[in-house]
Parts: sequence; structure tokens; C-alpha cells
Amino acid sequence: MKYTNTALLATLITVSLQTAIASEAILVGGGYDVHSSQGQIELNVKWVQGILDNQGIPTTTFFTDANETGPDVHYQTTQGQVTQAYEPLARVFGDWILQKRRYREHNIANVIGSTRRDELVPALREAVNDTANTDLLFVYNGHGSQSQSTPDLVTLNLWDNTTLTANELHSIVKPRNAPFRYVFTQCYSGGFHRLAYENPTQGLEVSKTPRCGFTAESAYRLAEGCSASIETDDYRDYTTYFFAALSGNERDGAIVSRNPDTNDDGVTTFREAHFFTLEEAYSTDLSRSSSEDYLTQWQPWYLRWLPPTINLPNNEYAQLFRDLANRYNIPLTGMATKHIRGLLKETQSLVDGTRLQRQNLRHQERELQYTLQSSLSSTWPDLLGPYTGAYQKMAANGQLTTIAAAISERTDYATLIEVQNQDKALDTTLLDLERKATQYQKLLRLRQLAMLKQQLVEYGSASQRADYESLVSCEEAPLQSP
Amino acid sequence: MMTKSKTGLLYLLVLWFLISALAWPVFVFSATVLSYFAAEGWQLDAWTQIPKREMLRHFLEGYKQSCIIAIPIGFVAVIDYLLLSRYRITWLIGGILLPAAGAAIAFSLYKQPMTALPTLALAGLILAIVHRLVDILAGNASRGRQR
Repeated sequence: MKYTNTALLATLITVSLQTAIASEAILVGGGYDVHSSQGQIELNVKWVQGILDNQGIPTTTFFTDANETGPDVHYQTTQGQVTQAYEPLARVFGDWILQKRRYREHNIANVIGSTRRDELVPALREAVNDTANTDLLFVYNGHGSQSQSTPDLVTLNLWDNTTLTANELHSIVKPRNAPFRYVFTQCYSGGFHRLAYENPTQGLEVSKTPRCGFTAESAYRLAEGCSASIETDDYRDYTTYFFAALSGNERDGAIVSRNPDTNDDGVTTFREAHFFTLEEAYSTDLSRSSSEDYLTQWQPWYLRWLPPTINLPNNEYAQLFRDLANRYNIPLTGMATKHIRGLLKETQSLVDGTRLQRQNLRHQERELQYTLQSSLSSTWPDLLGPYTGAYQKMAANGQLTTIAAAISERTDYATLIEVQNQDKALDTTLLDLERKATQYQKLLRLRQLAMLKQQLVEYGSASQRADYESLVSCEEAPLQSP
Repeated sequence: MMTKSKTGLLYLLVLWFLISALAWPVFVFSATVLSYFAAEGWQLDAWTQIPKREMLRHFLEGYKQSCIIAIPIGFVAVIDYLLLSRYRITWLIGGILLPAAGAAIAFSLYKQPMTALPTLALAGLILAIVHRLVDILAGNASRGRQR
């Protein structure tokens, strides 16, 4: 009886210790300077912070210049707030986009540090070491740059134009004992999948401590965050869909369009959220998980170049392909891939045509601006010196308003407005076409992933299959560890 | 006679080397052609989505790894020449052992032979054409056949 009670007590203590080991999170966000620190990034960070807070996950947040005085975010003001009187001057002499831009300090709560490299790196080391035995989630919302050599040299673009490479982050997280999961949404983010491997530069050996995650893109492509949408309310990066699936709610509070919990066990895992994003995202992102990256890296030389079989194997990627193909009215016949490639080619052709059209419009815009500037500066030469005392005087005595009114009367100014409006409309058209093209590329990629998974089963060694399964298992965790 | 046998040996060595060296590029070419007509293949999307240096890296890696197959394929070309291409009648089907070797590789080394068979058969056929061209360029066609 005594031994039974002791055993029971030991079990209870062990169980309570296990339930005490929950998840923690690190959020890093913002641009590398105020001009690249869009309000949408700030909104993303706040939203993710809220989701993590609702889940009871302690979160350490780093954002731009932390709590220093001075603007670190820009946003687009609404039409009503724009000073209409000076609009002609902005259109002719300035950057029309900047006319609607305003700057302010961020209003994210509980920011403990800046993202300047020399401040962030030691803080990250400390945060990572403090959570060495706890499941840790790392989320980045900002910008990134490409590597000109190996994928591990892609960077996070941090405040004050500093950077951190995937290789460097690998060395920071390497000493950990507990699972480490990551979400990167920036351009060229796929290079950060090297975090899942033992060697950050090359090789297929997966890290012994579980490390896995999700990126918006490959190491070689731009993400949705580098599109025009980042300046609008139509911004829909990987975070938008991924965390909507995890939380059950969109950014605007609406319930997600379908249940992301595909196995109906009452918990949405990271992997389920990723599949939800793959299916639901209508963006320019070709997102990927670490296990998918593994499949792509693994494919051996004697299989890589071969044309795949027509018939898809039976796995989750094949199912996703079929679901998406139905959504885009692609008949599931033997001609499906030809059909998809035809649509992709057609859309790509439209993208190229629209880009050319926009290039021509911008050339026309510059010529019109130059003509107007030359004409106006011959009458009012002080217009060419916006930071001079003479210009200030013009502003103070109301002469700028008169000049702006005079500009409005000109027919070439009306043409300029039309050209600038067409340019803006083309931005929207181009974005939509790029998003459409990405859906077709996604369909082809899902087919490829379906084949790759089957090939791993058939041709992979036992250790390779085990490595793949370990990554899948790492991805199949819920947001909050039990 | 010695000169003739030395020339013959040299020809065999050149044939072996040439077919071995071309085996992988021809395999990749065949696979790419078939992928293009099937509208599906890694290389079709990689061309626009990854840097060309990455594609080259994969190609060179495959070149290195495939030597274990390419060198015996070169030897098959030599055997084909010795058995078939030197004789007046069988010269007509000279090179046929190469697509046959491709088919044999598909059935022996691949768990799903039909995945690789079209590519390997086409690659073998192209190598057989190269084999015949080399034969013709070496003047064997005009000099007649060994009895």
C-alpha cells in the first residue's frame, strides 16, 4: 500500500510537471526603416500577439525601434484626410503615393526590444536559452532578402538596415533541447527551412532536436508582402490564413470559411493550418512546410528529371490537388496538367502584357510631369527648390494654393491624372493576375508533392522515411502544447 | 595488322568514352522532352522558379552519381559494335542493345518500371543513333563489313 501510494504520488508529480511545460513564443516584426515598415506589418503582429495571448502563450515581442521616440511605421491615410489643395503639386512635382502616406510610432503593446541586429541577437540568445526546455514558436513579420549563393544566407531585414541570416539563426537555436517551430512570411523565406537540418548549409540530416516550420515562399521567390497589396487593406500574406486557421477567426473577426481541423479531433495543428492556407490562400505565395522542403531536397538524381506518372497516388497532397482543381473548374482527366499549364501560360502572358503596359504608362507619366514641371518652373522658378526659404515663403503667403489651382486648369494635368489613375488600376490588375498564376503553380506543386511523398515511400531508405516522419510529427503539434 | 588492331582498339575506347559521357545528358534531354509533352516535370517549373545555378548543380550531381550506370552503358555500346555493327547483315540493327539496356535498367532498378521506361528507351534510342553516326563517321559503312 505504501509503495502504491508513493508510485501514485510520483505519477501525479510527473503529470503536473508535464502539463506545466507549455509553449512560449517570440514575435519579431517591422521593417528595416520607416519606409519599409508598413502599417499592415504592425497589424499582423498585433493580431498574432492577440491570438497567442488568447491561447495563454507567453510571448516576447521585438518590433522596429522598440519604444524609442520617433516614427517607425507608415500607413496610408484616407482620401478625406488628404490635403486636396496641394494635390496638383504632389502629382506634378512629388511622389503621388507619398501624398497619402503618414508616419507615426507603433502602438504594439509589450514590446521588449528593438529588431536592430546588435540588440536583437543577444536578446534572442537569451530568450531561446531561457526556453531551452519549452516548446518555442518563432514568428517573423517583415521583409527579407535573397541569397546569391546558398539558401542559408537569405536574410531577415531588421531595423536600421541590419540583417540576420538563416545560418546565424540556426546557431542561435541549435543548443535547444525542446521543439522549435517557426513561421516566416517574408520574401525568400524558404531559406529558413535550413533551420530544420543539422547542417545549415547543406545536407539532408534532420536536426535531432525537433525543428520544423512554415514559410510563405521558397528561398528564390518574392512573397505577397512585396506586392502592392501591402499598402492596402487587401493584404493577405501567409500569416493572414495560417493564424486564421489556428484561431478559428479571420483578421476581421469573421469565422473561417471552413473547418481547418481535417481529422476532427477538436484541435487544429500547425500542419492542418498550413494545409488550410494551401487550399484557401488566394495570394502570390507558394508556401511550404519543412517536411515539403525535405521531400524536394531528398528527391534522388535518378527520379528528379523523369516525367511523373499520370495517375496521382493516394495521399493528402493529391486530395488537396483534387479539391483545388475542382474549385478552379479544372477537369480531373489525363489532360489536367496540360490544361493547367495552358491556363498558366495564358495568365503569365497577361502578366507580362500588363507589366509592359504599366512600364509604358510610367514612361508617359514621367514625360507629362517633366513637361508640366518645365512649364511651371519657367513662371515660378522657386517651385524647383522645395526646402528653400523662397519656397517656404510661397507656402506661407498662399501662393502655392494659387499655383495648384492654376495647374488644375491645364489639360495636360488632366491627362496626367488619368495616366496616374490607370497606373494604380494596373497595379490592382497585375496583382490579381499574379495571384491567379500562383494558383496554377500551386496546383502543379501539389501534384509534385503527392508524387514526391509516394517516391519517398518507394525509394527512400528507412532513415530517410523516419526523418520525414519526424518533421511531419513536429508540424502536427497544436498551438498550445498539452 | 598491328596498326589495324590498334586503330580498332582506339575506336572502341573512343566509342566507350563517348557513349558513357553522353549517357546522362541524353537521359536528361529525353526526360525533359517527355516531360514537356506530358506538361509536367520538375525541370519545367524549376526553369522559372529557381536560379539556373541550382538546376546546373542538380545536373552535375546527377552526372557524377550516374557514372556507375553510364560507364557500363558505354561498354554495352562496345559489345553492340563487336557483335552487330561489324557484320554486313546485323549492321542494320546495330545499336539496338542500347535501348534494350535502357529497358533492362528500368525493369531492374526502378520499383515502378513504367515511370522510367519511356525515358530510358528514348535515351537508348538517341545513344543508338549517336553510335551509328560515329560508326559512319569512322568510315566503317563505306569500307564494308568484316566477314
